[in-house]
Amino acid sequence: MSRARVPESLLAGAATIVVSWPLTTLFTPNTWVRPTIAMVALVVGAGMAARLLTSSKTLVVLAQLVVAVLAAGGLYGRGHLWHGLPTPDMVLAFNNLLVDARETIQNYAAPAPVNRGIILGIGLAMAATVVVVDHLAVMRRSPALAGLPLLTAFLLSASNSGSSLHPVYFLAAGAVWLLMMGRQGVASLRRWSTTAPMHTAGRPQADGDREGRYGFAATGRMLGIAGLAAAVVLPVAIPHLPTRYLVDGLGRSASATGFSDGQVGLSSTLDLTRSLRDPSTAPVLSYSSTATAADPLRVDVLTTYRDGQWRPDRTQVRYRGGVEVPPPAALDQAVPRKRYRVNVTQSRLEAPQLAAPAPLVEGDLGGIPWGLEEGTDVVRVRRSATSYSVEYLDLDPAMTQLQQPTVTSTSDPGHAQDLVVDPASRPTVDELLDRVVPRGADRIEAAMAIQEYLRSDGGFRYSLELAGPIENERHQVVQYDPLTHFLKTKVGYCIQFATAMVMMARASGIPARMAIGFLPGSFEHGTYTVRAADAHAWPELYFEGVGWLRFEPTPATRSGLAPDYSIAAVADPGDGTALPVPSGTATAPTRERTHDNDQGSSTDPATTGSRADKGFLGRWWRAGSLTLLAWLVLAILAGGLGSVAVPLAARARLRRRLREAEDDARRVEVQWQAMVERIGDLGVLPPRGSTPRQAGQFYQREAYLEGDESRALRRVVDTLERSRYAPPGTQLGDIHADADVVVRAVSGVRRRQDRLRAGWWPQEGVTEWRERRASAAARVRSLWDHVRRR
Amino acid sequence: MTDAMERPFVAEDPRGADGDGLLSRHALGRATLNDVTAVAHRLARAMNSIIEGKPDVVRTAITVLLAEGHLLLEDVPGVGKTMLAKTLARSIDCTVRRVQFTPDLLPSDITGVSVFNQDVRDFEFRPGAIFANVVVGDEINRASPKTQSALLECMEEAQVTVDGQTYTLPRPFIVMATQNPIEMEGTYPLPEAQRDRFMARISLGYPSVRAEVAMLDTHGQAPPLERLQPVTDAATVSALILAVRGVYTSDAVKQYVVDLSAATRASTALRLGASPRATLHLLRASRAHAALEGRDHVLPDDVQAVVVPVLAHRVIPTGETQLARRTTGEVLQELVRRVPVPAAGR
Repeated sequence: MSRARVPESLLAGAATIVVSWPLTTLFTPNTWVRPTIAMVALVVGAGMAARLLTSSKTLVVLAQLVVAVLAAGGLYGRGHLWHGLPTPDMVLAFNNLLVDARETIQNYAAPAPVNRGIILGIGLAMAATVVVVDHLAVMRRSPALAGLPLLTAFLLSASNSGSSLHPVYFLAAGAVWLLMMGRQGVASLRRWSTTAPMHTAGRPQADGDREGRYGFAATGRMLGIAGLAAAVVLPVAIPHLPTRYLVDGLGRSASATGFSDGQVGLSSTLDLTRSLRDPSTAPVLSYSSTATAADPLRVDVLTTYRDGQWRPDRTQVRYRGGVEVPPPAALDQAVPRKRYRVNVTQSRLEAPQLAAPAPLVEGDLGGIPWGLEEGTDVVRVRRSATSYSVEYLDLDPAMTQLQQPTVTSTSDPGHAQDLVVDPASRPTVDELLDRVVPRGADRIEAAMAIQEYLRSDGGFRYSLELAGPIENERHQVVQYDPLTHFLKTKVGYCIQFATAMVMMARASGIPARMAIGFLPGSFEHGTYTVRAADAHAWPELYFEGVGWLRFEPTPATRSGLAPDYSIAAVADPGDGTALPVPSGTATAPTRERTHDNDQGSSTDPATTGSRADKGFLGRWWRAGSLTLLAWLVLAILAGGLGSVAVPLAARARLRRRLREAEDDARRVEVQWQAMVERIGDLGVLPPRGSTPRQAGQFYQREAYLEGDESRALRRVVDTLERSRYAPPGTQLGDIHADADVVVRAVSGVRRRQDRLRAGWWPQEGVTEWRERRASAAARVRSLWDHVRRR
Repeated sequence: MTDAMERPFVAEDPRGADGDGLLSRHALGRATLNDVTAVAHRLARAMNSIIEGKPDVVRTAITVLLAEGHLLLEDVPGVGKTMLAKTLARSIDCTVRRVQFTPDLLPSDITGVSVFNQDVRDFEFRPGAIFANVVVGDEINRASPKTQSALLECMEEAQVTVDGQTYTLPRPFIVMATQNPIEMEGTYPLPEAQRDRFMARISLGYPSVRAEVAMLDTHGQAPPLERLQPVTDAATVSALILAVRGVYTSDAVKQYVVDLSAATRASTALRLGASPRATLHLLRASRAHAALEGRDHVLPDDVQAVVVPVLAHRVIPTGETQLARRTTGEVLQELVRRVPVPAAGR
């Protein structure tokens, strides 16, 4: 059975299963676990069986892959098999299942509901992982390398779960990996021992041998445990830098402001979760505004909602380099407005996107060609603009201007696209409208009712973690489309709120569309700073004579104030100049995972007295400079100590051995050995088996010794020969001074790098450290034996 | 046939001979190491004047003489094997016999024979050719194995037993045998057991061009041996041999010698390794080598200097080694490089 290598194979399988454990935080319910374990077990079994039959690595891998495919077919491909064998039909079925899985993963934040596709996907991925791990750890006997696929699988879970994983997952994976390493180490040691004489008891004979083996094992164990402990403890102790990604431009800081030229793109397929969860504190945008309260910056507008997802529309853009933009055609002159200017000093948004409030009336992009998308009036740029200024209108229409009748796609064909309601969620939406919107309400009344319902009255909760799957009375999971799911569970974030409002507005006859962009960001000393986590989505509703107006259905804990016109009816109808009044803050439900910098005007006390555009580096520098300095000093100290540790050990070793020598002969021998080692460090090594005399001749030849140096060398060799081979009682001199002369003479003819190496890394010192380590290991070993005997 | 060389056979102890001023003052006292080097130096100079350009060979011959061993000279005809043996014999004022080995040579020709003396009406021992300080055996492989054995027995035991009577051979006693490795027809090559009795084997090899020219000058006219005067005598050589026996051998060197022998036995290139007798011979030769350098202790370097002449004729290479055209000398040199030199521990 040793050919099958059962323990190693089982460990490889166990390691794969353990690294798939954190996937339980990504998917719910855990119905995928049993099939996955079954697949892994089958593949491991196939590996062991194949190894019994063949020693070819390729054949074993092939056998495992075949078994994995057969197992997947047996588990998920029923009805598509031919006598249990896969058919092209099955491949198609698998493809459909995997497409399902992909859509689920795209549409759901963790934990995503599990379907057959997900189970198949996880099973296949884990089977592939176990094939690779088995191949590396068992066939190629390098479990260290097998750590890479394991780590990859582990990181897939760790990087997608949004929050930090519980350390127990990492500890478990690390422990199994160490077990694999240990198992391989034991196997290797066993193979050595067959060449060493053994007692009948199976223990090696010589004590030295025993110490060597135990020393290796003990050192390995200590290193492994220390490494695991350090991986858990060190993150607590070391100064903590904010998480940074490559796009932050680590190490490529372009200017003293701490900004970098890395760029940020905002996915227009509305996968805002990633941005919202982004813990990076690097600013995406910095700007100043002439407005008293800055408005959200719009980046994109989406009209088409299909299969539970917003899809980008392709529209034409006419680029130009000018400055003035005509005001929206629909805007009536009678609508009260204010004109504000926004000066963007720094932007990392990628072309063709540009963040700007709407509606835009003037833009100065420093010569970069730009234009408005036809139909949506979204700003597009040819090249990424890092600094620009725009002017926009802050519309404040009176209530009377917004009291317009609702329309249908037949009565307003121009906005037919903006009135399409997602058929999957239509029943739920209609049912909700019956309760929320009074009969016969005009556009603004309906809009305000919907916004109020979502924002505060409906009992919705803002959370980046969506609710789990819905179960019916018989505890079966019911699959709904994303919008219905949100409306039923009442847990979600801006996209769900905005989508719900768009659909409800459309269903009640108001043309509506989805806008995405950024909240105004944090305000500090006259500058707004927008970070990735400020990404936001909101609905825009169309009013004749006014144009598209922003509404804010997301609860105030996240989005701040709703626009005046959408709440003015409650506070002060007809007067558009009233100060904004927060709406819904009192009724905001419990906040579970909101962001720290939600409120646009929050200030950071740690940064008082500094210019905000110094960015995070500046802030961090002041906060962490002392810690950094302490660490720097520590590192320099450690480096300095480390660099002299080996030479010092070499000296200590020579002194100790001279002290321990019981007679002159031993002392001469020790000094000779030290001299040979030192000259060896310089790169001059006499041939193996040389007698002292031959070694002396070799040194003489290699180092071109002559005169006093040559005589010193001869004295050293003579003394050594007499100490070794002359009759007892021969007088021996001290060769220390002569040996020094010889070493200096040899050193004089060597290259500088040889001299440096000899000075910094003497072999004697290395040997000394090795012996200290071995003796430490032996001590640990004896202690361990002692404990075990107890 | 046996033929006495230049000098008549002298039966009595060589110490009884008057030294006529040739360093015989040391004959009864103990020789010092300085004497060893001085005498060896004179011997070497005398021999080098006859044997051109072969100082190493001469040195080895003197080493074997002082180490109480016997010498096997093996080489193609005409390179001076016999000349070397005769030169060494002539340089020492002592009894010398030369035996030309032929197939019909009888053991009694070597050892001697008891003949009935009519005058005293009793058997009388007539000593054979072996009774001399220096015995030169020419073309030893031409004699029958029976005769070879008789010679080899005398070499080992330094005594002769005829008709139940034991006769001790004179001291110093050295046999220098020559043999020709090329002409194999009609010869009886020495078996391994008998080669083992020789302390060292020397091959002279062809002389260098310059040495050969010089040789034409010296040997062209009168035979040079006639001009050669002895530079020492048998008594002195005996004293020197005693001095050599006193050279100290540390445990480390003894260990090294044994390690070398063991290495020949373990070597995959050799079919037969060195015998314990070879180990003993190696140590004795090393001692003599050290004494020749005036040292009172043996170094590993001494052992390395004599290991090839002492061991090369005793070990037998495997078929692969022979096919690879590696000589036993090369194999031994490689072993010397591999066996670690003992460091400490006297």
